[in-house]
Amino acid sequence: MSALYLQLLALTVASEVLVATLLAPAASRARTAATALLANLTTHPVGALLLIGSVAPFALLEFLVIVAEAIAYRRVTGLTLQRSTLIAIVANCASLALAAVIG
Amino acid sequence: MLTLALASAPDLLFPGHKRVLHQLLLQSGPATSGWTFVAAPTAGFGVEVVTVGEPFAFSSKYGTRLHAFRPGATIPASWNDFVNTGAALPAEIHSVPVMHPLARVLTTLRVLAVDDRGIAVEVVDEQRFDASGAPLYTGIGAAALQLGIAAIGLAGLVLITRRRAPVAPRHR
Repeated sequence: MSALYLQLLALTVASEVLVATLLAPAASRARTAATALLANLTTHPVGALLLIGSVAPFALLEFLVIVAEAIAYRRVTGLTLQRSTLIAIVANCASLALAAVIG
Repeated sequence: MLTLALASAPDLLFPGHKRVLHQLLLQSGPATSGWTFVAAPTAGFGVEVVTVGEPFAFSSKYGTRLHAFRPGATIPASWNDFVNTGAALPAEIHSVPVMHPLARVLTTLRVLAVDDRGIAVEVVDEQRFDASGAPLYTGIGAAALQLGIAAIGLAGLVLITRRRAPVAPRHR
């Protein structure tokens, strides 16, 4: 694993924690931030391994990551499924956009 | 003469993808001595004299083929004038998803045989690099470390779920 991967992981975690925290209700922000951190530590390495191994198309992997993270937000924070899904989608779009900008 | 089917690769980048620099390198060997090698597309522009041991660009979309010329032979200036006896080259890795760490690929070729009828090459090595120029390490050690990080994340999620604090209904 290269240092670049760790930088990408840190960037993804930072951006998604920020977005998830902003989208969470005030009373759940700390818990949502912790969930975003732990969920990304889980999904990012697994997704990267599957992506590098060309196991599945990128779009499918990204979809599965969003589903997994939405489930995590729902189960850990107790937020509604709609809110959990919204947070997962927006956070992943934000980190994807950031990666595209950085190149 | 070696004739391989060229993979067609679109020249455009799909949304969410980034360009990869894929170069070829001709390995020096007995079969390369006494020949001048040229990379030329079957469509498009950019006839390039290949220096053995130095990376050169190619394109699957434009059907770059490798040609060999005797010393002193006239190298055509236009792809129109090439006789199609050149060797086909490996499929170009054109792009990857933006989250993919791959930035550059260097494929090393060995010339197996050259004669006036054509040229035969084989791929002997392929190196992949990330944007920092470091080799893209995809070995077991890297995978184990990544799975270790994932395990920590998953364990944290399980722990935090067990300590779940109810959220007030107005916040849901």
